[in-house]
Amino acid sequence: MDTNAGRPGYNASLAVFASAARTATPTAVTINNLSGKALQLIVDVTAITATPSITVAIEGYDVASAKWYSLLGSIAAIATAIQRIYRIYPGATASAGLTANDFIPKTIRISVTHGDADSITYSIGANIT
Amino acid sequence: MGQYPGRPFYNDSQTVLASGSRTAAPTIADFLLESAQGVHVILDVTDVGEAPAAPSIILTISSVDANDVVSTLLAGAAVTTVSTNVYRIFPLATAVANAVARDLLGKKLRFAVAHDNTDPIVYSIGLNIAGT
Repeated sequence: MDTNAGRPGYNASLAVFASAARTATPTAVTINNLSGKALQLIVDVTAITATPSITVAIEGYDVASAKWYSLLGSIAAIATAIQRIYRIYPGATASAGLTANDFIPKTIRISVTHGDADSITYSIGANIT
Repeated sequence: MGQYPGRPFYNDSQTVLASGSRTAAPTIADFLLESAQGVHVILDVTDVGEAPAAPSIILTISSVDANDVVSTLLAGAAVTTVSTNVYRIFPLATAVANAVARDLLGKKLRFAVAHDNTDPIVYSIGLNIAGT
């Protein structure tokens, strides 16, 4: 997604997942991050039916092993209509599952895992600086 | 290998050491960083054999100055299991022993992997560089 994300000197705002009602885990989104160091990820849940649950993951890519590694561990599941903002940037005051004192690497991946098939409407936006 | 990764302003990803089975410390060329403020170093161990084999390795990341003086930036803990180990170094980091160093990188980075014995172990080392 958006190979200009984090173009030197510029901020970027990306619609990682447009708002939609979903009942299953969507395909993860990979972001080619040219030079951004900081990420705000905004998960906005606007409607739920029954008892859905989603868990967001933010990962970096290692070219040597072709594996992904966590940039923000222990993210709690979301089960209500709520806006939650995750932050990763150098110098941040860490808060478990919400904010990490770290930088984001060249290739990052945003994924959402659904805990069940109940409907949940959400969008995810990313601000990269 | 790895000559001047870290083009000014840009992030970069490099393979320091491709995955392979090793029984002794490998030779790893120094990395000259053109422009970098932080690194993630990923040590990915995928096979340690079966008992009684008991390999053990320690990754050390050092800075080498213009006088070829080596100073340790971060030394990991011994790795003995199949695992992905991420080490972080950047100026605003919150230090965590054997995992995260709050430090500057310098221009030349050196990676060393010490093997505690000659039991084979399969691993790779990757590098993610945050441009300035």
